[in-house]
Amino acid sequence: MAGFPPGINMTFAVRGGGGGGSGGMSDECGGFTVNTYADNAYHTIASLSVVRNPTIIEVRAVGRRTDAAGRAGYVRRAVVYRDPSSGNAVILNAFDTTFTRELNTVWNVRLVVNGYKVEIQVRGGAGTVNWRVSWVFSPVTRGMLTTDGVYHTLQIIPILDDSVCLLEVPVVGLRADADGSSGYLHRAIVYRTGGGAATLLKTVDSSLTRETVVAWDSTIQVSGNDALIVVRGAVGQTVSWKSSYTLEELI
Amino acid sequence: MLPNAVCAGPVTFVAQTTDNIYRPVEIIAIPNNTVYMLEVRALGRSGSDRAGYIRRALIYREGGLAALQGVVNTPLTRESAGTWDVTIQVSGVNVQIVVRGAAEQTVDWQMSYTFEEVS
Repeated sequence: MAGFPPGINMTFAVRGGGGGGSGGMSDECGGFTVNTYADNAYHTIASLSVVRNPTIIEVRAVGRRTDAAGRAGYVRRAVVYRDPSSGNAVILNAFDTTFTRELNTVWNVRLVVNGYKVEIQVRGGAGTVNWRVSWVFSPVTRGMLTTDGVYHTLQIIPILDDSVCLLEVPVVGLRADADGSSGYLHRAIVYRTGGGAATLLKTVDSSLTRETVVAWDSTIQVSGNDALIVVRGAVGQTVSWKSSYTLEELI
Repeated sequence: MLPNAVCAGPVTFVAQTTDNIYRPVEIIAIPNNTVYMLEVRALGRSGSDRAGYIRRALIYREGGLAALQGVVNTPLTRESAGTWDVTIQVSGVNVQIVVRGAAEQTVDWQMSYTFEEVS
C-alpha cells in the first residue's frame, strides 16, 4: 500500500492484484489535500466516506511552520469498518502510529470517526503551519468465505525463477453472520533461484493487525513456485475475506 | 493562499555495487524552506544472496543545508548477507539514497521511492 498506488503497472516489474487507482482530490481509493492552520487545535483536514467495509486506510502528512522553525512528518494507518447496527464508521482497536518525526511534540496527526466517515485531523503548535495530507484505501478485491478454523488460500502469486520480490498484502475480514471484523497488512521478501521453490527470506512482517476475534489470522506462505495469501477464520463463523497485493520484483 | 505542496512517485531506478562501501545511487535536491518525507524501497540480488528494505525519513531545509528530523525509520529489513544495507543520508542541500553491498560481490539493486513535500 505504502508508496505504490493500487494496480500501478510499472514498466519494469511491479505487478499487483489490486484494482482501482489513486490520486486526485477525493475518490474512493485515495487523494490528497493541503491547508494552513494557525493555532494548536485539532483541525479536520479531510473527511472521508468509508465505502469499503472493512477497509485499511494509510495517511501521510507533512507539516511546516512558516513563521518560525517547525516541521513534522507522519504516517498513520487504521482498519475501519461500518458498525452493522448503526452504520457508523468504527476504527478497529486503535489507529497505528506508523511513523512520527516532529520538532515539536505538540504537533500531531490522528484519525477519528464521525458518523459514517473517518476524519484526518492535524494539530500544529502556535504559529502558522502548512499541511499536506494524502491517503490511500487498500483496494482489497479478491474474496472468499470461510466457515472453519483452518487456513485457506485466498490468492496465489507466481514467483518468477531467479527473482527477488517485495510483496505487500492488505487483508480484511468481515463476519457475515454476526458482528466481527479484522484487518492486516503483511510484507515479505520472497525469492526463487536456480529453478528452486519459492522461499521466504526470514519472516513475514505483519506490521498491522487489528481483529475482533483473535482466532482469526492471515499471513503470507510459500508453496512450490508460488507465494500464497492465506486466511483463517473460526469454527461456526462465516467470514468474508478480501485481499490484494503489490509486488516489486528484481529479476 | 494554499501552501505549496507536491508529491511524486514511485520513482524507480536500478544500480549495481561491487564493494562494501556506501554508495549514493540517487541524489535529490531539497528546496529551501521545505519539509520532505521520503520512503524508499529496495531489492538487492547477487548469486546466492538477496535482500529487501524499506526506509523512511523526514528531511528539511530552513535556510541552510538539508538535515534529517530524527533518525531514519527502518520498517523492513530482510537480508541474507549481513554487510548489505540501504539508508538515507543528507549531504549539502541534497538527500541521498545510499546502498552498500559486499566486497568482491556484484550486487544488482532495484530501487524506488516516493516523497511528499510541503513548503
